[in-house]
Formats: sequence, C-alpha cells, structure tokens
Amino acid sequence: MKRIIVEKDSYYDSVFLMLINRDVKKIEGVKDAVVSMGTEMNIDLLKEIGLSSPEVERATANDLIIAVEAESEETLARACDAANDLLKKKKSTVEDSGEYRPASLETALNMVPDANLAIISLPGQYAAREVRKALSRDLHVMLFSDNVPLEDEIELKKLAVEKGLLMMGPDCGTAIINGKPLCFANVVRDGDIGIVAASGTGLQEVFCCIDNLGSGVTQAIGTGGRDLKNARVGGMMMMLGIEALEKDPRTKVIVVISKPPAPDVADKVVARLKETGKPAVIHFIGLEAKEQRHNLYFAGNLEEAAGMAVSLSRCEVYKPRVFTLPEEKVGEIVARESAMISSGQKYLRGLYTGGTLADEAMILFDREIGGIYSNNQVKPELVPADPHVSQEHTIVDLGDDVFTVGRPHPMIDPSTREQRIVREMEDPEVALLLLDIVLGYGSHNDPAGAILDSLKEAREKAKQRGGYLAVIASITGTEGDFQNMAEQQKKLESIGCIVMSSNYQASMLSLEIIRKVV
Amino acid sequence: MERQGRKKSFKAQAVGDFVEQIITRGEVVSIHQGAVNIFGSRDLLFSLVADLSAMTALSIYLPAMFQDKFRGNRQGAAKIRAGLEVRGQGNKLYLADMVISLDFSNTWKGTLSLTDVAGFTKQNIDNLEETLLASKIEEGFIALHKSAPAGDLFVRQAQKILAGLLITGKPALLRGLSRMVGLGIGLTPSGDDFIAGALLGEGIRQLLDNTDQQNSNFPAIDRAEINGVLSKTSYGGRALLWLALQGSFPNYLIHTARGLAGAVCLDDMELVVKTAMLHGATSGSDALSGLLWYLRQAF
Repeated sequence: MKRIIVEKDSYYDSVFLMLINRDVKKIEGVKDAVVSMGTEMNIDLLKEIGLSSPEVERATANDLIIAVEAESEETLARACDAANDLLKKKKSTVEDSGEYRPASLETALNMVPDANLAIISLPGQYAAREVRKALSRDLHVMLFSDNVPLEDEIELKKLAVEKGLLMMGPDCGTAIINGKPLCFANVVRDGDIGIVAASGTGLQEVFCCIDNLGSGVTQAIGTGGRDLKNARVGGMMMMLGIEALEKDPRTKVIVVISKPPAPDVADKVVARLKETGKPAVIHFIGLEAKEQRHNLYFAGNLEEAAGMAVSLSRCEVYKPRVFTLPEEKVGEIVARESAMISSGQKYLRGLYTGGTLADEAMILFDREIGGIYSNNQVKPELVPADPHVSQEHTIVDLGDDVFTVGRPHPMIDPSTREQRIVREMEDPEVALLLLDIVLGYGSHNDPAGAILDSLKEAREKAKQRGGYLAVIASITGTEGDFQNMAEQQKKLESIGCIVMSSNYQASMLSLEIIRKVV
Repeated sequence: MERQGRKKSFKAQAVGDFVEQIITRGEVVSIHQGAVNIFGSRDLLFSLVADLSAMTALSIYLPAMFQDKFRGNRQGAAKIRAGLEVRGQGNKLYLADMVISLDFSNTWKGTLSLTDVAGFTKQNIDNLEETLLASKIEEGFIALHKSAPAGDLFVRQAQKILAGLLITGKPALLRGLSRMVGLGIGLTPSGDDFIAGALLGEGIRQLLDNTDQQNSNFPAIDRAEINGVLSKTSYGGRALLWLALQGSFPNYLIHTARGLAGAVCLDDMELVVKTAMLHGATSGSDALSGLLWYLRQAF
C-alpha cells in the first residue's frame, strides 16, 4: 500500500528532510519511504516504482514529495501522520525560534561582540589553529579537546601568558568563570573561594563540597592535566590562574588542586602561593598532606581541601574528620553490611565515571591494603591486561579513552557502566561496588536512575548465590543542579545503596567494609 | 492609522559577483538559521547570509542583520517572513523595515585560481577516496563509490546515468550528465551537488592544464546541455548549478578544493572531508562524490 504527500513550495533544510526520511522509515510496518523535491527526474522515478498520483504529476521542482509504502492502511496512516507532525513542528520552530548557531569564530564575534571567552572543542590535532585565532582576538580560551600535541600546548600557553589571557586546557572540561558554569560544571554558590585545578572531576568535587558546606566560589579555573605534570609546560596556566585570584579582591582564599606535579613545578606553585599572602589550600592528589607553613595549608583529600577553604574563609579553625556521620552510625553500617557478605566474597570493584575520583579512591586503597588493579595505575604490574575485565580489587576509570572510543563519556551515557555492573556480577567473589554519581551541566539527566536496574539485578544475583552485594556511592553535585540531588540520593537508597557525602567518605567506608570481610 | 517607522540600515560586508544582476525584484521564499533565501529575477535565488562559509556569488554577507534578528530584537529586522517583497534600487535593497546598502562592499567571486590548487597531486585523489569511503554517511550519492549494492532508487538511477555517459562531437564533449539534474534527495537534489562537484573537478583540471598529471583524452563536460535543463530542478539546485557553470562555486567548495590540494596526509584530508560534509545533510558528501568521480576519470 502506498500513499503520497505533496507540500507545495517547501523550503525545509536538507538535514530536516533526511530526518523525516529516517523517522518515517523507522515506523514498524513501513516498507519504504522517499522524501524528495518534486523535480522532473524524481517524479519520473517515483512513477517507475508505482509511486505516483495526480498531485505528484502536478508537483513542481520546489514542492516536497513524501512517498510511503507500508504493509497496512493503518501503518500508512500512522506514517503519514508522523510525517505531517514533523512538518508542522518544523514550521512552528522555524517561525518561533530565535536561536542561531554561528559556524565560525568570526560570526560568533559579530553576534556577541563583547564576548571575552571562547570554548573550543575540536579533534586535538586541529584545535591549536582555532585557539591561536581566539587568543589573537584577545579571548580567553577553554580548550575542551584532548590529544593536542605538547608542542602546541606550550606555544599556545606562552602566547596566552604574553597577552595575559587564560588558556584553560587542553583536556579541560570544567570551569566556573564569573559565576558561569562551563562544560561539565555544577550550579555553585557565589562566594569568596577561588580555585585553580589541573583536574576536572577533582575540581567538581571540591566546589560541590564547598557549596554543600554553605560557602561559594569566585572563580574555578581549569588548567588541563599536563600543566603541572609536564615540566616543559611548567604550570604556566596554574601560575596565571593564581595571579588572577591574587589580584581578585573578591577572592579571600585560594585553593590549588592537581595530580602529582613535576617536582620543580610543585615548588614553583607553592612559592607563588606563599607570595600571594592570601590563605591558600593545596592538595596534590596522591601526596601526603604536610604541616601548615605560613599562609599555606595542605589537604589530604579533595573533601578536606574544600573543608579547609571554607573554614579559612569563615576565619574558623578547621577540624579534621573522616566521616560526617557519627562514629557509631558508621560502625553500625560497617557491621551490618559486612555481616551479610558471604565468606567467598572479598573483592572491591570501583566503577567510576570521574577520572580524578577514581584516582582518589585507588590511591587510598593502594596505600591502605595494596594491590589495586586499575587502568589509572602507575604500577605497570597492576594495570589489567584487558581493561574490560576486572581482577581481584579493581578500580576502573570508565572515562578512559579505551572505553570512550566511538561512544560518549560515561558521565553523558551511563550504558558503559550499566554493562560493566552486570558483568562484575558474574564474579562471585565481588563483595562491594563503589560508585561515583556526577551531576551538573553536561552530565546525564538521571545518572542514578540510569543504573538502578542493573544495580538491582546485580544485588539479586548475589542474593541468589547466597551472598550479598554492598553498594556504596557518593554524589558529586549541589542542590542547584538540574538532576535534583535529593532525588538522586533517594533513588540509590531505594535499592539499599549507601550514599556518602563525598568520594573520600565513600572510599573510606568501603575500605572499612572490605577490611572486615577479607 | 499605523505609523511608518524609520527604516533600519544595514551595510553588506561582501556581495556576490552576480547579485546585482538579479536583485531588481524579489520575494522571500525561506528563512533558515543564518540564511534568508530570496527568489530574484532570472528565476534564481539569492541569499542573505550570516556566515562567510555560506557565501556564494549569489549571496550578500550581512552578519549585522542576523545579529539583530537572532538576538531577539523582534521590533527591528526580525520582521522577515516568507512572501515578503524585496526591491532593489541602485545599490540598495529594500526588505520589510530594512534598507541594505551594497555600496563599497567587497565583491565575492567564488572562483578558483592556480594558487588554490597548485599543490594538487594524484595522491590527493587516493586520499580523498579513502577518507570519503571511511565516512559513515549512507544517504545520498556517496553510495556511488561504495562497493555495496545500492538499495536507494536515486542511487541506482545515478549509476545507470553514469554508466551511460557518452563522448560525442568535436571537440569531444561528455554528454548525459544533465540527466542527473534534479535527481535525488535534499532541497538541493543530490544530482545537482554531484554535478557541481564534477564541475569543480573540471575547474581544478583546467587550472592544472600545463602539468602532465591529467588524462588529456578526457572530454569536457557539456555545459550547454546542463544549462538547458536548469529549470527542471529546485531553486536551490538551479542557483548552485548556474553558478558552477559560470565557474563560480560556494565558499565551502572553494575551501574544499584548496584543502584537497594542500592536504599532505590522510589526517589533513579527513579535516577537508569532514568540513565539507558539514554542508547540508548530504550536499557536502554529494559534491565530494562528484568531485572524486571527475578526478578519477580525468587524472
């Protein structure tokens, strides 16, 4: 059965025409669909395959023809309704929408002449050219792209420093500039703490903890992972970021977060922070905290960095603690969870979407019990031969390139983690799953809800084997995030998952439980 | 009685070489993101565009108007709607509550020069083919280069047309390509983009005439034959082909030709191909298909 729709004088863009074609073809029972302009050549062809009508005969080259062939009259009607709906919807969008997306930096600047920052996300090898253009137009840059050659990074950062502009990145996915969350960032209160960080989810964890403690930030500047790690880059953006916060009268306290820097760079950063005279909190992930010196405070984990900064901004004494919950309550949880785990279950599996959060957990476990397998491990013998297969205690960074080739980051698309949860449950020795849930712009709109079914299934499997699966999670987010943090927590708790207020606390609780069962 | 407001003035930053020939009278036919299409005289469309990358020799580059319109100032230049009359007088264009000045604007030609294609080698054709075939686009005439049997009726028809091309007359002319005019999907049918790509290939070949790279026996495309059937395609296709027959191409195809000649490795070519493919749903890939088809025959 065949039916034809002819729309007179139609000027839909070709992308839209292709989408109609795809959508109509997808309808169950539709055998074929052709969406084309009514040119003589197309009409002749449609006639040849029996798709013609008096209306088609009268069509001109500027009319749109939608021809559908389906198995039944009902399907045909459904397909034609769908096509008509799409056409109507498009008409109203075209008429009502004021949205315009410029295709070049030049046009964007024509539209928004007072813009002072460009976010650039292109395949790494092509990004440098665009960054150079943006810097030459006196724009600060946030460079989301990874795989940017080191030489390009050095050259671009030198240019940025010369011009007094920020060049955040490469591989910088998180920042808050003048209260505006950029890329993967959360809704955080305005405040008096300024952060410079060479770590994406590390930065998110710190500013979310600051917000959850009732304080806020002035700026959260990303530098890109290599800024401090590589001696040749030499922390150029970290130094510029510190200088910006030093000069900012609204910033009372400076926080610096980074994975372990090159030794010379670390010394340079510490010396520069001392020079600012402002209270500064430093956390080099994986390095032990040091004693306070002058205006410098060294934190032992991400949550502590946030806590110290908040105390300093409020002129209070920071009281170190591991858990927010009272000690007895933590003891109860540990006793209850470990008692349900059967004797053969002994291993931890950390399934992370945030790289720095995975690092934080891995470093903690490695230090406390050792032998943690991870794709982020610096010890080659503890890097799993196949990153898709866990062994013994394993903490996986699912945002690693090996998992994201050809698919979105797991913070955007939770299916990678869903599949991994189910796979982990084939291993009867697994006792505990440790998870991060990262909220905010850029992240999935329901990251907890998206993995709920697979978590339930995993716990059910463990139960069927006569065991128990403990699930411990933390949520990196704020009350202002669109995913609704309280709802996310409720969802996780509804299936017996224990939700802690930071990744550090979730890791520590997991450690306590694992220690009990091993 | 409605008060007559003051007209808003805009100055074009660049004007296509053929615009002045067709702007005496016109009517707005469609409004897209970053483009307003106007049906002008000689049955040709011309466009007001927000972005230089969308420029053709039948376009007026007018970013300021789009800035005004798309920033939500609906009292100003945002009154443009389909069916509005457009009037050209001297070097001015009157449209709704706007007057667009074309005075002292840069002239945009859309033609290729030897400098654009000087670095071209046969290796570039291989790289173009490899990159194009690796693309995931399935719709349109890219299928002509893929070995899988074509399921699409338009592609099957295009295969027949290409197989039946004739070399006739003296000097030798390639005839039959005109049967692709208006064939296929898209507001600009795939066949039109394919021919534009082929004509671009011919333009490259003509510029490299002094080199010994090309197959000197390959005949010239019969332009008169294509010109004779332009009325058989959509307004968009007609404007594209009319310009291509004059040796003028959209900006994105000029960049494609430059990129093709300048690409020294597959990574470079990937960028060239990806950028071209951003144009329309299949227009970019259809034009690249036509370009590759021509280059394969002529070099």
